[in-house]
Amino acid sequence: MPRALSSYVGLLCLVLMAPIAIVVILAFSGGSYLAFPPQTYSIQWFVRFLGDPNWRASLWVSTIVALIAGTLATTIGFFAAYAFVRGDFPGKKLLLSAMLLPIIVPTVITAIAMYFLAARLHLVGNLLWIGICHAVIALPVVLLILLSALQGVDANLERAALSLGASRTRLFLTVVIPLAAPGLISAALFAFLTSFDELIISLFLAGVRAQTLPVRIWNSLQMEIEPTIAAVSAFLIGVTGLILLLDGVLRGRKRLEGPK
Amino acid sequence: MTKPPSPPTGGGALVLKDLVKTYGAERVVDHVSAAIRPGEFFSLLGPSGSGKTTTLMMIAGFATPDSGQILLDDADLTRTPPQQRGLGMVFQNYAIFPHLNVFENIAFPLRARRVPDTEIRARVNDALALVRLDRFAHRFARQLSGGQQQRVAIARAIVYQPPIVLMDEPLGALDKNLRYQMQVELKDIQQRLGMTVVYVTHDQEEAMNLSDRIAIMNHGRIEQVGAPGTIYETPTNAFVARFLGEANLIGGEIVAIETGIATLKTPDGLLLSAPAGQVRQGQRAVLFIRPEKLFCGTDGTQGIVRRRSFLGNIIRLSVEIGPDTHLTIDQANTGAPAPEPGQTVTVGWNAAHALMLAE
Amino acid sequence: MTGRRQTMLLMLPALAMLLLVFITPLGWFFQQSLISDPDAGPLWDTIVSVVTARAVLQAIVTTNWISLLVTATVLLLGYPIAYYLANNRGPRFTLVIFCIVVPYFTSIIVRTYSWMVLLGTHGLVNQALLATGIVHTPVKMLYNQPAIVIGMTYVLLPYMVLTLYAAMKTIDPTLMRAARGMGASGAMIFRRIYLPLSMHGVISGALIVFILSIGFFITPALMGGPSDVMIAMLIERSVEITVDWSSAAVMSLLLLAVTLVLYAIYYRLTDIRRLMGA
Repeated sequence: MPRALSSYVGLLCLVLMAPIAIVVILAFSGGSYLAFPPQTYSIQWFVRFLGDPNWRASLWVSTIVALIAGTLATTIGFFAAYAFVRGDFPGKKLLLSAMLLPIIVPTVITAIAMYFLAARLHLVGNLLWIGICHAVIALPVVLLILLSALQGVDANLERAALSLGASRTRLFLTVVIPLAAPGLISAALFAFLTSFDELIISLFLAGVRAQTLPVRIWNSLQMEIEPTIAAVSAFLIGVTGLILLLDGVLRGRKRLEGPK
Repeated sequence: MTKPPSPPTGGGALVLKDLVKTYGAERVVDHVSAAIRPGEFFSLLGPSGSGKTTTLMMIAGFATPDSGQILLDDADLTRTPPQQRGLGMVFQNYAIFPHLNVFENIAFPLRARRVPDTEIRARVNDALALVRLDRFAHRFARQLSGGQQQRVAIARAIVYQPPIVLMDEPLGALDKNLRYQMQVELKDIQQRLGMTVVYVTHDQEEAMNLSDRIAIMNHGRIEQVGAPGTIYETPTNAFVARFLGEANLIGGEIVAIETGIATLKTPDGLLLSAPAGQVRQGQRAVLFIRPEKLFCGTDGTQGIVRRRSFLGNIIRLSVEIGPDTHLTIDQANTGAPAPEPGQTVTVGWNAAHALMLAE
Repeated sequence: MTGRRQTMLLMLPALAMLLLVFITPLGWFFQQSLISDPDAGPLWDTIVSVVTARAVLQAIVTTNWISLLVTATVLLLGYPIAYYLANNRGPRFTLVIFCIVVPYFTSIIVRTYSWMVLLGTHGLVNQALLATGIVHTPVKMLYNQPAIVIGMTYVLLPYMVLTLYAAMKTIDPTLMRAARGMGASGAMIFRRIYLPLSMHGVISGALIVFILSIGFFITPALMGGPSDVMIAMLIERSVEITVDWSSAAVMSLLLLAVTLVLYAIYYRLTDIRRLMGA
């Protein structure tokens, strides 16, 4: 039985990674169309990706929006998470469930409503507004990560700091934030990633000039499957991989120098 | 933000006035009052759930009393936030900041008070010397043993000379031998600095060893306050008697009182006498006497030894003096032969060592 | 330990953002499209006409059918993986988690695109099948319901696996050992002890997957055929193509209502409090 299980799990792992691996390999095809396995290897599609002003513009848009969303969601989420973990008020479970709604409500509906509002306020295509909307759906992720991280901070450490005369500001700056730092960075990374990968809201709020990378891929797929998409996808996969790697390294370091 | 009150030389005086704290349906602290003198080592002793830690938390400012007052040298602290009370606190799990080394941990309260760097260095080094951790300034918590961490916690809590230091079962996580050693050190530091200490513990030996006075708490109320000796020898009720060490508590009804001596009649018909204390005729009461105050001699009550236990430095005998009445006798293990089970003995005691307590 | 008022202040930015950027747009969208719109008739009539439209009814059926299918598939495929994760540690665990987590965090458009590459007429699977002679003409594996199910399963599998894993982690292994000591066979242990104990994870996972499935839009849009229309796709079309706001609003309301009801059930069943460490 265990052997059958291991074989099954192994097979499924292959199936899980295969699509992603294949896209990455395809992105390096030489030749004029995508072939698997590639006859020759080349970085031509990446060159074309970064050489195309439209794709470059999308890269820029994606990055700016993700930075806005990541910063906003992490900051706001940090304070909210702290309030959940240390605060004393009724209805915590309910409030937390409510704050997780943005990832429960079908994104299409959220996106349409946000577009509806944005259209009235002439904010369609506004990078700041897209960033703020992304922050809304990144917030639940940030909350979940930071709730866990802040629970790992011993409440007695905070009491000790207060008893020693630290003001609330000093408490945050010198005790809470340093101790929650790995969690904060993790949350920021995943908030960034959530925004960077996001498609539906971006689709509705993009307008003509503010297309993020996923939106441009979507639009390209509607027309024809051009090989450059593979390179862009590989790039996105690379960003994901990098962030997961950074997070893994962070988590490993924290385990090494965590409290006794 | 107002600066914390400047500490007087020596310790401060703390007054608790009628503190009440209710959590949900339970009154965890039930009208607790106490007056703690400057330089005193004052313990709150009681079983878990007795309200001692909650009381300490209210003094520290981490819990707000529903009613009552907390006064430090006549200043009302009751509504002051913890960071402005200027008290020192030592926690059971040490609460050493793991991301700062020993030096920075101890320097933390000084930096919070914007003490200049040169002064910080001098004062932290003094504190390190006091707790004998001079060479550990650059270590981190994970490199220290439990005892060392606790000493860092103590140094940190006193480096800014607070008028009162609060301690919440600080030695609870240490093993027995280390605990005793730390008790001695703790007392030494307290006396040298003349600090007022409010100490929470459930360990009665520890409380008696360290304290000038002990407040025994049960179900949110203070049962008795007094010096260890006083509480031990003359408890005010059966709970206190039982909580501090072993006690013989024989129940019955007071049938006579004459010239301050009460006579108790047990359910199985025995008549025993002891100083009356607060009991009245006809009341249900218990006769209290410590096992070490009893001895087997020639004058007293007859009984049969039912059980003999060897406890190392003590030989404990259970003697049946009536069909339902037993006395526990503790004899020092001097090497002399002790009575065997089944043997008949005469149990005597000095009348001054016994006491009648209300039930 | 924290003053109540001070804590509420820390919540304020998050609540404000949710209120202004999430709740308000939703509320205003529904209000404007359904109530204040001068072109729309009485509210009830609008709702009825939309809900009884053939396209909408068809979409509801399709959505439910596909979502059930996906949930069942994800459950069957994911249960053994979660079991494996719950009972292994070290490099094996890390490897499997890696294979679960990387797709999970990859953009959905990339994931969908990769399946299109695999399943297309000139895609890799067809190339392999043709090359090995199993078939002689390319199999149509894209732009139909099976394609949607495969694509959605791929995206939703991590949710099921991680939920099940969390539930399975709470099962005490000594129970299994005790049962084996009493002479129970592997199958019996699984059926009578392990499976029942993991059931709350199964239900939680199934609920989450189903809730997420019914709102899916990208995968069915890219991988489905012209007759495979899920409700979220219809909503998008109402906005982008037919510009029928009231229609979009009614369908959104319906989808939202169902989602919230299911979420309420999920909320009751799971212990979100555990996330807060209470």
